[in-house]
Amino acid sequence: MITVLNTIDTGHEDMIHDAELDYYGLKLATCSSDNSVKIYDIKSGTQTLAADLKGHFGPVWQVAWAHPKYGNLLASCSYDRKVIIWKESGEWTKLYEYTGHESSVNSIAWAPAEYGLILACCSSDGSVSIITYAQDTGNWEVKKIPGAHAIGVNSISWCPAISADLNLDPLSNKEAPKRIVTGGCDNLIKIWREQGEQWVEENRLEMHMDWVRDVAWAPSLGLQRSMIASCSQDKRVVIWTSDDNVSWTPTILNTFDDVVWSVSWSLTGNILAVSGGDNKVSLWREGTDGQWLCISEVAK
Amino acid sequence: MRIKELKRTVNVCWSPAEHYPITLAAGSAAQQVDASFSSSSHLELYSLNLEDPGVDLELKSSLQTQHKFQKLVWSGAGVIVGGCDGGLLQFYSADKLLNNASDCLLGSSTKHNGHVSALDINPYQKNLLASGASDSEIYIWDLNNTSQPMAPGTRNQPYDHVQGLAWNQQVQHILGSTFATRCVVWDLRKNEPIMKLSDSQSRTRWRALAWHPSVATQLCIASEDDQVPVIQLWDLRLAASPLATLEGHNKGVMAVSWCRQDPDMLLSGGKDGRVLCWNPNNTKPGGEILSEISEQQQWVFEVSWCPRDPNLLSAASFDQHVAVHCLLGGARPDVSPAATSSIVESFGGAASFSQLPAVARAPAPAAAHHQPPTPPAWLKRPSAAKFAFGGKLLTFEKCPQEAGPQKLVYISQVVSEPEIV
Repeated sequence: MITVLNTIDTGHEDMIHDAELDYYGLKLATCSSDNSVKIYDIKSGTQTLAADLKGHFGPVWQVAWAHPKYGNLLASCSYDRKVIIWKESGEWTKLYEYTGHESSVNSIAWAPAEYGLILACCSSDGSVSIITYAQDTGNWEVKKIPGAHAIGVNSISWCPAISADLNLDPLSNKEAPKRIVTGGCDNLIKIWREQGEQWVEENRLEMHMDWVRDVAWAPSLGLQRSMIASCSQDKRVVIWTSDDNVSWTPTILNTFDDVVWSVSWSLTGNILAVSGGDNKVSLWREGTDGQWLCISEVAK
Repeated sequence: MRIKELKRTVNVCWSPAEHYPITLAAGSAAQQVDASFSSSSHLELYSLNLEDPGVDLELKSSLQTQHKFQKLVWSGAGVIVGGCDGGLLQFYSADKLLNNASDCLLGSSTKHNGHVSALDINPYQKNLLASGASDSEIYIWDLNNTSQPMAPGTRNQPYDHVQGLAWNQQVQHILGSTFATRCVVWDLRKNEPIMKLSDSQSRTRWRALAWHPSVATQLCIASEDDQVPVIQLWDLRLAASPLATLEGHNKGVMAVSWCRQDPDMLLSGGKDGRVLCWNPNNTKPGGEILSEISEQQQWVFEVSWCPRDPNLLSAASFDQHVAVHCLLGGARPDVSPAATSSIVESFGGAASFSQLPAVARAPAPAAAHHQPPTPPAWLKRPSAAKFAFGGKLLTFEKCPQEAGPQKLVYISQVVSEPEIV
């Protein structure tokens, strides 16, 4: 079921914290505690180092590729309190540096491309920033949610544009509100909705008993249902489902043997990859009866 | 960053790691007056109340008690133990306290002499308590049956007050104890002391101690002497002299706490009112200060990491102040307002002595941000699995320490529905 295609020796000098393939699967970005971001060109089982980006002065926690219609853009966030947006035009350079957080920036996520070039960032200082590229002025505009989660925000994910409001006609969903989900050190998951110039807390989901490490809003391909996966220091993964994006129902997917660090949906939104502190990766799918089944387990 | 505070002079302790939600127990501190000069004493439980952006903790339950407390500990076995004056130990049921039941007091004992100021719960056997008081008395209690405590060996001579006790974090039958002039390590299996540490080079006066969370033979001992306000790192395998001396406090060090989730972080609080976070494993001369957590007006007599959430720590000081800090985060500047002492107010706010003799202060280090220069271990994501276009899955994983950092990223193909492909 799972076949390794490429093994990439990144040459990082310290722990790797994130890796992401671009839209076409041709470029791989990695980041590490050695303060660097690396970009590799991936071609038929081989890879070449395209760039070694140095600009952070602390461990780099996450990297995120923007949609290719905005060019080759990569965002990175770091313990050094900064977010850097890198751009390739011939060679890779720093396009923009965001320094609006007062503590480690733990997670970043690009908004669905339909909304424009928008990056959401969250930090140990408890706040969330939404930075938007204004096409007309060429500036980045910042909106902030202060005190989003007490004592820190660990993870952030956008609601897909297609399912942004399930009650609206999909053809006219330009008016649909933007939503993001965040997971924090207060053990809570919160859903935020853009309302005019503000981001307001729409929902708080309580289930976890320790830090929420990762949240992931499932891509939705026409399903009349929204899904969010969350994982926590409490070793549990919870699937939250909603028919209206307002009331959410939790299902505990599983309780694992170790802390769960990441959850990731396949692009079709029907398989969830779960990765834990014990190096175990498992794949889960919802059966017709609504039960979640482990369809594959990889332990090295 | 200071996130919560409590305006009382109390001894505090965190609920154990397995207890949810996180709760703070506070017992009126012995030998301290409060604003009203009331001699009443309370044992109170507070929830962190993180929902509320304000700085107040939420009172969950309060119990009036007969005696004030020298020291509090909360065992994973559900018992809160208070050490009091006159050799008294009080055992309370944590659950009954939380439910505001009337019969919270499970039992008490006056087996000790003098005030019981040293207590510690064994990290492996939650029902094992060590207590220390005057005349070198140390007892080991079974919280399930507190009638027959045992001694870890013959009392150490010359008789002296037991300042601190700490169970080893790796070997469950090893107990460390501090007296003003020496640190004695006991082996409960042999029922005798196996090691005595004393620094003949300097005139330290030991108070608190903390074992290394993962190296069984190492411990830190703090000196409360104002002339020698140091913390020393010792290894029992090289017991002739300390491995490292951490110098940073301007006056005696009253308390230390070693982070269980990241051995590179040790907290200390001192008579200079400062709370510092150290990397005790950095043996460079003088030690490495990672972060100055706070500065109080008065002695900080207790500091402690929250066992469940390593981002939180508590610091109690004699100016009627307990603060809960968060290690990371800098949204709110940590400027504690010059709290007008309510003790002075009860004297009619006489201007002549409105100024308490503030503690001597060194020029503040130019640390603009309190965030440690390197992230704590619990922030570092060791592994992940992420989907990409076309059913590709990216994975990387944690490697064993000896293998060095992980460098490999795997790109795999996931075929979940072969019939469709």
